[in-house]
Amino acid sequence: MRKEQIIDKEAICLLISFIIGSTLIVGVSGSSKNDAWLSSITGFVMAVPVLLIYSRILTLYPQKDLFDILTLVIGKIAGKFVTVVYTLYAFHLGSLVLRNFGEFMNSFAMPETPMIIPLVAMGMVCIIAARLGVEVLGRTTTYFLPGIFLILLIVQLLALPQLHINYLKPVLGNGITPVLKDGYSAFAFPFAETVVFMGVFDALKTPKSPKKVYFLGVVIAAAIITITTVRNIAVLGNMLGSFYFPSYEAVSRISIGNVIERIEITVSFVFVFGVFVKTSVCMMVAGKGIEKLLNLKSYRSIIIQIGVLMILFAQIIYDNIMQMRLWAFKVYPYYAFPMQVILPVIIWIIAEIKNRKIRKMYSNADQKAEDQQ
Amino acid sequence: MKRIKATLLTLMLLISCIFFAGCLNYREVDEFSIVAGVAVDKEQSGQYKLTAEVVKIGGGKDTKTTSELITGEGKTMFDAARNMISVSGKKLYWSHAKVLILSETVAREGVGKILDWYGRDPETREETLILVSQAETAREIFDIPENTEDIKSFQLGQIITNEKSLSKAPKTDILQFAIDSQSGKAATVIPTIGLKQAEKKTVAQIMGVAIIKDDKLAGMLDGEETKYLSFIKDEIKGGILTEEVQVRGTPTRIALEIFGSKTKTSPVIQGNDIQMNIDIETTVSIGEISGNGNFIEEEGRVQLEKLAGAVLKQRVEALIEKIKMQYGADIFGFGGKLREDRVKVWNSVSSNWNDVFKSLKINVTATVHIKNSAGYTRNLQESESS
Repeated sequence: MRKEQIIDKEAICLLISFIIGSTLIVGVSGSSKNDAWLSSITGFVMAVPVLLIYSRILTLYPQKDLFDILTLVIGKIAGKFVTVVYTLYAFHLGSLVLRNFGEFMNSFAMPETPMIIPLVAMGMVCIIAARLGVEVLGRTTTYFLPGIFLILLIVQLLALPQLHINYLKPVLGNGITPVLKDGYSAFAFPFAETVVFMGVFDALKTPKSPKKVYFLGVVIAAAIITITTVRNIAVLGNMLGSFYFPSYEAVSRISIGNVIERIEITVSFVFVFGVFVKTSVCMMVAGKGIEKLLNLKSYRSIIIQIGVLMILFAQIIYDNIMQMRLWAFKVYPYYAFPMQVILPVIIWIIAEIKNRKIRKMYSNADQKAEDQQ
Repeated sequence: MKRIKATLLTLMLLISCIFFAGCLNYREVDEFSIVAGVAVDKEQSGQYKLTAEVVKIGGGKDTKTTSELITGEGKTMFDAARNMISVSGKKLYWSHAKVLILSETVAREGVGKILDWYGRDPETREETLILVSQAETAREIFDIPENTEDIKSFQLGQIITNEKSLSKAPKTDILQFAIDSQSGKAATVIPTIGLKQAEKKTVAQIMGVAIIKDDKLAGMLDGEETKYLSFIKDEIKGGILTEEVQVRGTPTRIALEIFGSKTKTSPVIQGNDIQMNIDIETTVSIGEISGNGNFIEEEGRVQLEKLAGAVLKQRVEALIEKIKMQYGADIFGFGGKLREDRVKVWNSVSSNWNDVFKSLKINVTATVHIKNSAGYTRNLQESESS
């Protein structure tokens, strides 16, 4: 079978939509109040080292995905074990994102509709996308993302009359601790979640590019999140933390001459698109994990089952939206830490050592060959 | 085989188009009542009484929109709102509500708890304007016999919106109130609505504000005082300043139309001493001179500017003094300003801000700049030669 390939541009677009998807609507954790925009920057800065590690691992093993690398680096048995961990993480993450979407639909758009209906509707699209593969998903995203940017830009401009820049003051009024705390929360959700992409970036066309892709994607996404957070604070002031979906509330304030108003549906559009990309990628990675685990020919044979399980899991994952918020901002950063930081660091160190050995061997061999001549 | 497959697929698509095109729980416009405004009262029994003004669209050749009142009682706001179904038979639709009127009794008990449902519910909107009724009950506002065909709530919404060229009532909506009441230790204001007798008719008039301190109604200010409050809060968009000048022993009244105003409030910290500097800069035009005197020529104009500035300063100071003495409520947002600019100082005084506010020294400077005298080049009451 022909290997799937995506070019850098597509990969960057995938990363951007993956990151902004659920964060734009759920927002950055609210305990830093009007410094929330600083926490999103802090989160990005914290994410830089791990992004370097992710891209370094991918560069060391070009054309290989996370699960191949695991086997190569830490052996078959340990590799299988870690593969299970990452498969479960991707599966869980996809369900969480689906559930975010479900909760949003349930509390704003269709309060009386059972949540399973939006979940199934979205889940089915994601199954189709995941089955078609990363190439198709990448291209779709590249087509849609300019539209998303346009929407974000227009909404941002329309919100200008509602902004109260003085709500941003005082900067660091509550000290730096809440900012760092929220920054860490922003690090785990969404920036370091990009670890999942290690499972699909074997499809990158140019082997040298992971670093560039990771950085461009995350920088653009971080900029969008920061700008949106600034807007939300400047519109909602100290009420920012009181809303489940601050972006939605902030945009609903827009009213230009009693004509252009009620445009919060645009926020939903961006959100739906982000959720679609994020869930599809997670689904794909979970499928690939199982493929490698059970030595299947292709993950496509089991993607429907994985998708359905994800939908069902999303349905039972939380009791209510309060749990969702608690999980997303308070528990998740600690839960995700092993997958996002510890395991990549271990893999990276071992990979570096192994690579060095191999290089030494090669250079020794070269030396010998030269000597013989 | 392939043809059968294609046919079946097309059929499936067509069938799903027919069956799934509608929404799951869609509502026709005649199945719910559109709420235009709502009045909140409290009964002796402790129950909330909600009166909703509901839009009624008459049929026939020329469609007329009128309104009717629906009342519901309940232990909480939401309870009362839902109980209205038992009267109207239709579910009420809240997204188009323009105003929310609180009776004085309700406002005295606490505003925040009333507004909670309204801000929380996804159907109601945060842009709904809040008013406090000066009449006995809030319902009375809707009860006045109709003088226009308009729906009263929409008319009230329009009054508040256009009041910006009068500056005698601010625009306070649900979200703004929530933000203001949570920032620092600030008290907030809500415009008041009263009933006024005019030629055998009763009309509603929106003027002045109610002071909400610690979530409870503490007192009211009249329209004139509200204007100076807006000056301090830098919310002036228009309005009239009237001056009285003695010319050759007789008083001349002059109306100055405000075209723009900028107020800079800045805290000044010297050791433990906190002061507030308020610099008001207003641009006006001479809109009316009813009496003698030359105020167009430089000499008279400069005098008038000086006088207007002095009067403005004096009135603003009087208002601050009154608020400090009578209510001790920081409706000017000085606390918030201090927090924004000097957060360390604020943290040290925030616990007893109300006391600090009462003894806060406030320096007001006011400059009035006359930019034109509208259409006339001179005072018509003065003969041209003089």
